[in-house]
Amino acid sequence: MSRSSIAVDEPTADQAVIAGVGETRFALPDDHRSGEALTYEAVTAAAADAGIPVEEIDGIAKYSYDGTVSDTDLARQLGLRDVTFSVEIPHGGGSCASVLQAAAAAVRTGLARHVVCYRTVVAQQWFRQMATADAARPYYYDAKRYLRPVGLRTYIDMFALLFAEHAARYGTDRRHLGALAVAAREQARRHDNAVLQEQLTTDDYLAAPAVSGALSQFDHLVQVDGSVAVIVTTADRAGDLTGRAVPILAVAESGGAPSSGYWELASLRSDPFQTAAGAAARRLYERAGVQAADIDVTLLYDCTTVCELMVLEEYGLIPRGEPDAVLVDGFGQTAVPVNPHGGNLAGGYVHGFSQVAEAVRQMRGQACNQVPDAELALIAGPPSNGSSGAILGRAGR
Amino acid sequence: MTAATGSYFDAEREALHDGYMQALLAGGLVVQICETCSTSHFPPVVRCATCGGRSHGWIAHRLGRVVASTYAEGAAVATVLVEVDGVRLLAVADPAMSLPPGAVVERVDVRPDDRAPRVAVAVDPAGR
Repeated sequence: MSRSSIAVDEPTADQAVIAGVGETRFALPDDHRSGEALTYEAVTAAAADAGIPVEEIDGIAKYSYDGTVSDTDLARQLGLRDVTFSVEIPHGGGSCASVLQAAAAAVRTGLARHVVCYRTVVAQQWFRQMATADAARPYYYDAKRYLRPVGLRTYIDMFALLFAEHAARYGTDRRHLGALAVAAREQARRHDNAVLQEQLTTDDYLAAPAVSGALSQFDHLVQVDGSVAVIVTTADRAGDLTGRAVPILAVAESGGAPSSGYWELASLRSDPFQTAAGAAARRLYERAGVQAADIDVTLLYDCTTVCELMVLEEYGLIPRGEPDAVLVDGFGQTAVPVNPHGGNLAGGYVHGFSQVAEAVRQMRGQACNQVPDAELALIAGPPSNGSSGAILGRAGR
Repeated sequence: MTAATGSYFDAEREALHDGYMQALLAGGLVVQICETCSTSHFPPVVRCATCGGRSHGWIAHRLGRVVASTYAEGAAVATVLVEVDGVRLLAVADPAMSLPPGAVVERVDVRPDDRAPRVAVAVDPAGR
């Protein structure tokens, strides 16, 4: 059902590609597997999928504030011999495509040959770290002094307030959020590694009691323990490997004013719905030479249904301020396919990186909930203070 | 109004916060104002991005407009997003209060133990 009519050039020798992907089983917490063990499993699986010995990894691009395993241990316990490139990206979930950008730059400039990008989440550890991060993260200051005292405790409260403004401005209501929650669950039912497999009906959704503002338990992510890793290299190197290389056609990042500041401060911007995600989206489409209508499958950051709605608007997948667009038959499934792996809402929350793994599977034509003939996959980060997006093309062979 | 034990906070940020708390006790919808170019900031900043100024004071507005408000189950207060003089700030309110978007905030209280302005009277111009 490819909607793209553009011709994608044959990859050049220095085209950055994803040559391997590894993903652990996602399990509801507490699965009693350590973050270290999960990370080693995902990284070694990605290397094996690419067809390189794991010790050939010579670059690491990962999210900041990772509390699961140190780079030192990663290198020591995987036997990485000589790591020539290491970066951490500070955009929280907005790092999901930024790590690919860093890895692509590194392999194309020769700073490294095989860069691993990964994210591991042990839910109980991560959400405890998020709630008690004051000492470790100076940028958390504003949250402690100006958000917590007014009752904004977590990302759920923040998105509830954003939704209240969206509703006041555009007439958005729970039917719109419900359509997204129900679609995510339908997708998850067809994906083997998604943790929420039970059907969610619109009636179930609308009957759920409010937790914060208009949001209920069905509006936010499902916590899991899991790890996802990919190996980025160049097309010419990938040609010698066994893994089916997926080209990174374009990647873009945005941060800074007016979106800067701790991400939970979003409602304090003069327009909270103009975010770094939109700036990254415009840059991404320009670099790729495509438009939203060309995208065949979208892997977007959906820590809440409200977040998903905002990303859909920012990436031009629905018209801004016209939420009825998500009520059309099959939205998120057959019409504008979104997160065939169930996303954060139903598949499991790995800080947006399971979206990258699913994009690779979709571009190889190997996903268990495959979008037929998909040629372009969009990875779209959250409306945070810094965000990023990427467009992957179909695997070459 | 001191930093939590064992936490690192920059002393300048903490001094700014103390200033905010003192200004709140005098009452009103308090925002930081740059003494050089009069740009308002919330939350308080060390450096004004408009003019680069590092000298700030406080201004307590009496009137604001509700942008949106929410209530989390079990919470003691509702959260109110208020716009004053082109700047957005956060306040609290009694959950039973009617606070539709567009309501005019007419009176703000700050009690000694409060850590944020408290909306005391808000009037819906639409009369809803």
